[in-house]
Amino acid sequence: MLIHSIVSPDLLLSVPEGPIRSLHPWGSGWLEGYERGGQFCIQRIISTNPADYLNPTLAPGQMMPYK
Amino acid sequence: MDKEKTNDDSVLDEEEELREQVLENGSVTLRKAKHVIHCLCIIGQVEGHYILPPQNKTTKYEHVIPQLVAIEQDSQIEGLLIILNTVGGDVEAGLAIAELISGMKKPTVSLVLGGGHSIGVPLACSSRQSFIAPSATMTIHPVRMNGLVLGVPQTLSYFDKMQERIVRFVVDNSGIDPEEFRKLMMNTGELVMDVGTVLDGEAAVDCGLIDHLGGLHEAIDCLYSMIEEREGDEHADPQHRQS
Repeated sequence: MLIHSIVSPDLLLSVPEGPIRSLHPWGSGWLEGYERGGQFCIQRIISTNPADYLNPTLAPGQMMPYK
Repeated sequence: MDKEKTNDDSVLDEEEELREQVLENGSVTLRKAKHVIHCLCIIGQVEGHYILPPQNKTTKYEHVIPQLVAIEQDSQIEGLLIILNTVGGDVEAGLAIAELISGMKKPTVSLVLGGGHSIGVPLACSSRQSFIAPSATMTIHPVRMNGLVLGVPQTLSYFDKMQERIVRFVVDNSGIDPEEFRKLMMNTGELVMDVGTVLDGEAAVDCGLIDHLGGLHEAIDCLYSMIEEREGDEHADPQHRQS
């Protein structure tokens, strides 16, 4: 593969170990995160509603129960 | 009552469509403004024939290529705004997307925010007008390859050919001189761990790589004026619309 990137190929193609992320629908978007201790740990928000980004309960790292 | 319910349903459908568009393609079609424009974001790594490991945020060519065809075909979409914040990626995928954008008839404007590095350079140049934020940077450097590399002269010749594809596209689609671009690409006096040059917004405009220094409103204003100019041409010559 021909690469033209400022990221080194070693870093670009390395496979990290970590929990499998999933998406959950929320309001006008999605929450991306992974399962931790039976709860959903938020990693990031994908939303068209700016208010979602100001909602402290949706901040990255927050836990929420699975619905 | 029924009509009201139908309207609600259509609003919900539109919201759902918007949500899907942002999630799947990192793009959005804005229909509630002066002109209907499609905003395409090219972010992270440009992913091509090989799927990159999951820690990379990627823009996938199989998502972008059909979108560009759909934008060109959609009679409601009047223009395309491309927002770039990319670290580069696959050469073939980047050039394929760049060639598609440069071949579009509809008005296109690109805006580099944060970074438009490596294969992001031809992507930034591919639109009719390009903008870069003053704080954004663009890294110009030689291509790399992963996998088995044979230590033979043909390898270097192959690299040279691959690089020349990028140089040719950038030179054809921007105001930079080919010798100047090659010089920036092979500069050994700037990067610690690599060969090449980092240009900030002003330097990218000064060397002719990018057309204008500016932000979102300058880019949108430019796109609107290109749309209006095109509309004017179509009214003056109705045959133009069909061609």
